[in-house]
Amino acid sequence: MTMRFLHLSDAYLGARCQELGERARERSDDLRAAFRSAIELALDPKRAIDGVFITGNLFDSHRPDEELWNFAKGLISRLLAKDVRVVIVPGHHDSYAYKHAVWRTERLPGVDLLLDVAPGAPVVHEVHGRRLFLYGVAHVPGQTPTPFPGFRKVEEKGVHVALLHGLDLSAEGSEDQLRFDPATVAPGFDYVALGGRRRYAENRVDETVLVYPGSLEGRGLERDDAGEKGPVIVEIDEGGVHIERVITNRKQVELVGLDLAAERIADADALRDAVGTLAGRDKIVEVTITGNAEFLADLEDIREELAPRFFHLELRDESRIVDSALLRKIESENTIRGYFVRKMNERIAKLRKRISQHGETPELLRKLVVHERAMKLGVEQFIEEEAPADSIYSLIPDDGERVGADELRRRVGVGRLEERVKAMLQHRREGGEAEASTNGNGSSGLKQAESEEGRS
Amino acid sequence: MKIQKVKLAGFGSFNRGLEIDFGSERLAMVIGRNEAGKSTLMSAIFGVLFGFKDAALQKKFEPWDAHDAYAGEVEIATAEGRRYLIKRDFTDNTAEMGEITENGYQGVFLGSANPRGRSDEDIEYYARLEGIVGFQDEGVFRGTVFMGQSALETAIDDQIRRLVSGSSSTDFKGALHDLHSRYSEITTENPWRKKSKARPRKLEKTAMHLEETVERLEKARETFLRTVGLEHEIVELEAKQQRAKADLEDNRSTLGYFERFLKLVRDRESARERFQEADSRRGRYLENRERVVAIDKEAKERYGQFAKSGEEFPELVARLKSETRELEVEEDGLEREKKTLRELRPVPNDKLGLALGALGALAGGFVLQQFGPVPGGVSMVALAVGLFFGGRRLATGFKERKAELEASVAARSRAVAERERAIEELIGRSGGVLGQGDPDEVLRDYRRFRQILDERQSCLSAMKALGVWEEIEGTYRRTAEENLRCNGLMEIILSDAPYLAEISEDPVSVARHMEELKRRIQDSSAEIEITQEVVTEAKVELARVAGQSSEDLPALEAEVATTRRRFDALELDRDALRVVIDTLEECVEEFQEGDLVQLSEEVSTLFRKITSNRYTRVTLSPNMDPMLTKFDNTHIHPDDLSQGTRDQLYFAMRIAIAKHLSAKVPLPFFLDDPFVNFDEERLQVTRDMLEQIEEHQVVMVTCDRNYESWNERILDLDAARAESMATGAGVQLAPSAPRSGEATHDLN
Repeated sequence: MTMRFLHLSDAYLGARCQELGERARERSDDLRAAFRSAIELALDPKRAIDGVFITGNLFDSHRPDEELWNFAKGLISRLLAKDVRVVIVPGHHDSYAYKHAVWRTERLPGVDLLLDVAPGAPVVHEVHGRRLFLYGVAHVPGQTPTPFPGFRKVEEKGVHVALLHGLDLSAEGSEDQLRFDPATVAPGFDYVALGGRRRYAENRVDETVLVYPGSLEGRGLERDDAGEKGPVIVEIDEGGVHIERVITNRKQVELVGLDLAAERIADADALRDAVGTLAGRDKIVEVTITGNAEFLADLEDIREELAPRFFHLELRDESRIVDSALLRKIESENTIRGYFVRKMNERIAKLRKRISQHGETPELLRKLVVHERAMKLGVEQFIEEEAPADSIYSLIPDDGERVGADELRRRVGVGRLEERVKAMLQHRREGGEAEASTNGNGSSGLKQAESEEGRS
Repeated sequence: MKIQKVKLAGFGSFNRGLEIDFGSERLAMVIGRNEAGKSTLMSAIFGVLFGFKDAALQKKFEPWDAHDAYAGEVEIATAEGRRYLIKRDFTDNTAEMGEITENGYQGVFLGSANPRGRSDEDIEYYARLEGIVGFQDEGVFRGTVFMGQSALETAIDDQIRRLVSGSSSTDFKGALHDLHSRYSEITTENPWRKKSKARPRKLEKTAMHLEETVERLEKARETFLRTVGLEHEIVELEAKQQRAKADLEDNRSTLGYFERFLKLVRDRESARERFQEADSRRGRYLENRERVVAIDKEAKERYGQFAKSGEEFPELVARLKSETRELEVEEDGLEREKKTLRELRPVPNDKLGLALGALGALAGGFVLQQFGPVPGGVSMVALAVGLFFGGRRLATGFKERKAELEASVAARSRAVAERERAIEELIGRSGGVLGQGDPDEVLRDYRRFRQILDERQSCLSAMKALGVWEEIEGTYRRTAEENLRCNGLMEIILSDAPYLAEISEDPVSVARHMEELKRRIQDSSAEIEITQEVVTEAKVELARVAGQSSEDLPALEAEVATTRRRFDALELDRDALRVVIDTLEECVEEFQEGDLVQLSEEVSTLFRKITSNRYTRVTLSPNMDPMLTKFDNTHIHPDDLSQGTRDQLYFAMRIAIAKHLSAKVPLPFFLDDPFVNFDEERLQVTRDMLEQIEEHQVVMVTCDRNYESWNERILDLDAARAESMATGAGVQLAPSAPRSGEATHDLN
């Protein structure tokens, strides 16, 4: 007879998802909803689930608040009421190691909470006439041996399942995480239920299947948060172990690299369009813009414009301008910006030469990065992101639009400078007020003018 | 340079095409109503030459209605007399460039000329374009040659600064200002000015936040590890304490065995001693008693005759012995005297014989001497022997002697009888005992008898000294039992702890063992006590530490990472801005020290010309503020000039800058109704001035037909459009025929 389990990990209940700004709260609710659906999945009679494995990071904190605990407990109780076994090992976020960890202070009657800090004896149940051996460890640094030496498997007939929250030896992660070598942990077990990685991963060592189900939702904007998420259903019978992923994530995290040169994106509009093609109300997208830019765009403007079409959008600018044709054009100019570009190009060339001579020392590389950034910041000052207001172009009316004299003046930009001055004054005043309050001394003429204005 | 012809195959409102020949005049006056396409025309010229950087703009100029193409071409005549044709297809941003020589058209470039592109062709195109028009960047070119409706209304220095800066939206001052304020938004540091105090800015705030968060993380990790460590230690200590307690119990019980065993050994020893003492006492008592009984028996059986003998018995024996000895002496004397009496005979006198013999011998000697040896010898022997026997027979007192002897025998007989009587008496006094044997033997018996009586006496005393029999016997029994009991207990203990048997024989070893046990017990107790103290302390410490912080490490780690990223970005911006500001300031300085002087010269020359030498010099301040010097060396600020002179000054500066920026290409100027708000007088001055700048083509677009008077020939866009509408062909625009009659200043 087949045993059927639902295996989930890294639900991160209570995570505040602050990186999502104003959508943080909503996202946090998603995490709860994701856990709820996983439990409902386990309760679905058609699925005939015998047990639920929760392999760590059920909570984002070792000390979830009472409301959250009750939420989780309530859902778990529903499982128990339907005779669905629940097996839990603590994780890295909801670590058992903390003195006041919820796993120490609270009780979950009926749940197999595996809290041995070192390999111990298994919990044994009978499921459909077969014996089920459950092994687990609650990692406590300094007490749990790491790398984890593996469980002490009981040589008895039945299904042997190990639950382990940790990372394999080579994986990136915090120094406080439990480490293990799949080759030492797996032998002899039917299934190793892993937790601690947000991305689904499946591994086989001989007959043993090891699975990280991944988080139930992308928790943040890291690489492992991207892609489809959900629990897995594990079927174990005499024939072996069968894994079925169930995709339940509400929002999809996507990390997209956009190479301006490769994508032939040559202006802000094209960039906006390119980002726009990624849109989706349920998508959390981080676009990293790379490559050589032949234009300068206000990413924040683009982001703001497109944001309503996404659940959350982030744009990261890693594009470079240094070797662009744009700069080449400016370089020959007799203008001050021409001077600037020439001078900066010289310096950057020198730095590159030094790097080629002395190798990529961190100091030189950093200098190069600073100079490249400086080039961008400097050139930005002198390049219009769009056709400037006082150019002839703005006189071209949009389709069917007729332009009156006042409108013309406005378009031509009369009064723009005034506005700019006002804006600068305003800005200074804000800065000045704050500065005055910290007893700073404003020395610029502008500031004086502004404070006089303030008095009048 | 001069724009000679413009041909558009489709562009904005000129969807059916446009052809303009600007003709030979230096001033090209394009007159048309609003929406006639004047501005579109200018955009087209810039567009053909440079393309559109802004894709939206490019889209905007796509022919509005049905069209076959979206392309254009511009013919340019340079000051050196060369003619170039530049064609652009906006649909794919390709361009063609060629020179028109006497031998016809000679292409020099064909390929991509995308302002947003970065291919070699793109780069080549713009480099070539620069050779003709002096610029690669449309923005700067446009800024330099185009004067819009507000151009003369805004502050001169602002515009000039923007032009030399290369931007139409900001100038170096504004840029520096902006950069400085961006810098000061990031950090309080200010390497350029000294500031005493300032509130922390983004960088400092982020740094502080980072530091705080790192500190929090470190503290939380420390707390976390400390609690984990403490818990672990406490568990281990308590286990150790349990082991120590078990040890203590073991050692205590072992020591107990030892102590009980030792006490038992001592008890058994003393019991044995006491038993032995009681036993020997009993033995001695019994021995004495038996002796007394034996003595009594012996006295009765062997020495009964002495039962009545008193103390004088030995004296009696002594007297009897002495009487008996006396008697014997007397009896011996009597016998001897009787015998002497019986044997009494006369006795020879030997002495006399000897003496006479000796005399005979002597007389013989004398004969010898007288008569010879033989008669002497014989006479000597005969004389000695005869004389000796004769002397011996001479008479002694025999009779007196006999009488004496008879008297003495009688006396002795009397003495013997007396002694015999005395002895009889003594025997009588001893009760007859003495009469039975040898008195010495009797005395010896008597002495023996007396001896055993003494012995008996001493036995009795000894018995008395040993105590009462019942007590002696009781003690004996008690100690015997005790002894047995001790032996029994010993056997039980030894069977419980057989090792005691081995060491029990060696008191030193036992002592050492016990010392060791005591030391261990002491150690264990101390350990338990100290462990308890430490555990209690550790528990207090654990409660304290755990209470301090229970922050989640992963959350803090994430926050540190985020903050660090933010800090790094800000730091990068800070350093970059610093480089920008320093570099830009250097650039401005270099510009001010080199280019500005040149520019001042240029402006001065031009301005002298325009104003017919009313002013000798225009000096541009570092901020590009012009200052005028008159002949009398008085200085005048532009604000104090008349409006007309100010316009002249502005033009002079624009032209000088155009020259400067374009590497001395005499650029055309495009005027889009810049004089719209001018009064008559101001217009006149401007018009005069435009006449003065004969190197430059001026393309002026206006809707004001009053300007018709400025030029003999005009380009009438309205008329051309009307014709185009009528014929359905493209707009054809060429200078009108000169109007006759009216006196006009010919700008040419």
